[in-house]
Amino acid sequence: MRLLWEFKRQFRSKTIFFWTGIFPLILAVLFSLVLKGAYTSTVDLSLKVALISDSLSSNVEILAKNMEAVVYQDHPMFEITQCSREKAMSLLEADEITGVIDVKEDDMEVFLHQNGIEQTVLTEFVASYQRNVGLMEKAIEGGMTFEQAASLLMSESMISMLPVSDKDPASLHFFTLIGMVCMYGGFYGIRSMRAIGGNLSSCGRRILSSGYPKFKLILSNFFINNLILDAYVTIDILFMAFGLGVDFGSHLSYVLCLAYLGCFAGNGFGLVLGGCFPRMEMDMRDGLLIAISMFMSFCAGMMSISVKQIIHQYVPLLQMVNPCYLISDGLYSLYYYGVGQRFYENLGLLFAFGLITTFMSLLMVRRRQYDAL
Amino acid sequence: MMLFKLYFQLVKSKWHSFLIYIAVFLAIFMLMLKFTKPTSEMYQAYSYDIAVIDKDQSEASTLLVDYLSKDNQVLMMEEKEQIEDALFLRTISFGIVIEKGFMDEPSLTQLIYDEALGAAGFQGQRIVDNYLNLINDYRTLDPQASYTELHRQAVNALSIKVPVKMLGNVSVLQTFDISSDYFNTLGYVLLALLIEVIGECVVMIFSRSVYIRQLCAPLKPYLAVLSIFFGSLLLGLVIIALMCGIIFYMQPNLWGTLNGYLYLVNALCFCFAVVGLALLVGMISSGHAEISVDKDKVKMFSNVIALTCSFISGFFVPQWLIHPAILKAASLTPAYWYAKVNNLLAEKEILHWSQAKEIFQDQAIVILFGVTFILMAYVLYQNRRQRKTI
Repeated sequence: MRLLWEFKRQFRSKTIFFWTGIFPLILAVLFSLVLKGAYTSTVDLSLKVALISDSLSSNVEILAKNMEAVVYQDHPMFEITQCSREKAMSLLEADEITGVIDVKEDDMEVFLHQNGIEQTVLTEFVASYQRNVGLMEKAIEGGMTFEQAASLLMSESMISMLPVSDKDPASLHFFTLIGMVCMYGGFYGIRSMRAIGGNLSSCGRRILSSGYPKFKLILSNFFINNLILDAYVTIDILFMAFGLGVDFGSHLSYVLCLAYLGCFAGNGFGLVLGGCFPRMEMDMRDGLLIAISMFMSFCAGMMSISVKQIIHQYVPLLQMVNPCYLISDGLYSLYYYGVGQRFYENLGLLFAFGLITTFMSLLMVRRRQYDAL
Repeated sequence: MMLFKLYFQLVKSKWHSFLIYIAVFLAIFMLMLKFTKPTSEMYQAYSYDIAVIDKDQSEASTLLVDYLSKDNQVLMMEEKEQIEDALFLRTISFGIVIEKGFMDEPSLTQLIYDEALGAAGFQGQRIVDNYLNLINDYRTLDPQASYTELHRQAVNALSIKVPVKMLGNVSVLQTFDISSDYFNTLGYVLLALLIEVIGECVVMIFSRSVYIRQLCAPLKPYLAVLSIFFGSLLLGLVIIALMCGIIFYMQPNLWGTLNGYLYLVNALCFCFAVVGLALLVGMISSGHAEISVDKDKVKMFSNVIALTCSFISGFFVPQWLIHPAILKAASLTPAYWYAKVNNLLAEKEILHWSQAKEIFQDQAIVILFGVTFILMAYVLYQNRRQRKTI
């Protein structure tokens, strides 16, 4: 009967329903509208380059042919335009081309408008072209024939190229979002502790007067909280997978299992927040939970995916106690590598986090007494 | 005046919200600045982040790593899985695996790259190939030379660069770029912070007990709305002054440029619109018997509005990455026009006011949004007042 009462009480809370049920769905839709495909959008590989064709037309022609022959991923690397100096410079200033090459008698000069990857590719190419021309001249001076010298430079690539699988990094935003929902499960924990806090609510005073054991109270509340949160998380995951087309890999049952364990950890965390600092106000506890959850989500890569790697590299211990990271990394490992050691490690750490926080919360309320109820 | 004073007493009680938002925003911006590669007036070759696994640990592989770390940031790793993670999370441009036996067979080198990273893979291949091919060529020309000598010759040859001239002021353009990111993120902070704080203050001012006293007082309705509006605007101006002071201090290049002043004007226009929106949200949320319900409503509205506007208008991701249909929907919010102006200001240096015609038009649209929100809030206030009076 008490379980049913607790279930109704928690289920009817509109605020928690918004933060754990509606808010993640809104965020998921926004992520899907804006971020999905943002990392894998087709990059135009061809660099637009202008060659000044005022003089030395034969040298310009040779360079143009050499540049047009460069191919990367079956696409020509350079798109060449031959034009006058004035036209080339105006195109460059309008950022319509990457750079301008001015071919002189025994030298070349490159004009750029910005610094960046594309500009570096261009200048490095021109430098290597000049270097090869110099090397060839040196070889011919050393007694080689033109053909021998040319074959020297016709060397094949010495490095084998291994492209990584085309997984979408935007998925990580959704994984951290699930981590955030699990952490927001802490709202239930905070309210459960409030409901049994003699100094926090009138409901708590009544419950404590009944003589019902605190241990049983906490565990029963904890069970109900997990049940409701698991339902919300299941809806979120199914909505993301089938409604928004987020790729979770081929192990949906493992995904759900990890998320349920995440709810367990989030609830435990909420119990600790609800149990510590007995004089703290509810608003402050809620604010603290949102701030900590947001910080954990940020560290797990919710706002910028590279943050996950940077923090893992410099402060690995922080990530080991960050349930949001453990959830998102577990989901990522499932998505990228499938079920394996890394997934089970995350699962284990998450379980340990949930267990420790729940145990801590029990210790916090144990033998807590009030002067007067 | 009484309402104005009451308003600021309420604002004062919300100091922790200000502190949290501004501290988090500044921390994220500092992090962003730390990882921004500085530029100068001169040409600077792009410095790649390269992950290397050296399984050979020979003289040749060590010299190759030395060569790579000359102009790039090299990160030593143990397993291929780490390289794949780093590529997925966009913290490296490409990874190189030097297999055992590399000293005798240089072709035992692998380059792990992501096709979605564009020219990075191509450049990675060229960097390693140029070096290894030169070592090979010098070995053909002088078979007796030691590996260190071959490495020295190859590095010497590779250090010859082509002369490069830069058009325009590169560092000023980078300043505008950074400022654009700053002001776009500031847009989110303004939306979230002002809607929450102003909305909650409005809710408290229109709570039952305070509202009954207002009805009894000889206070004209438009004066009540105006006092709250000017109070909110003053609050917004203080935040803008603080945040703009910080960016102008951190990016001194902004001083004396038209772009810098236009960023400031744009932030002010947006602040005006957000204040109007916050008043409207406060008016819509107020009026329940329990003030905590109204406050919860304001929190929900502020989060949903701030995040939705920020995502679809291009505060967090560049507008060119967002689908045109979504941008069309976003153009119904002031956030879109604000972000558009910021992006325009990042693209080029404005040397004369006449070049800023499009920018002024967009800012006028933002102001119009603000006026509309304020009028809507006033109409809501009037309706409620009439209903209560009856």
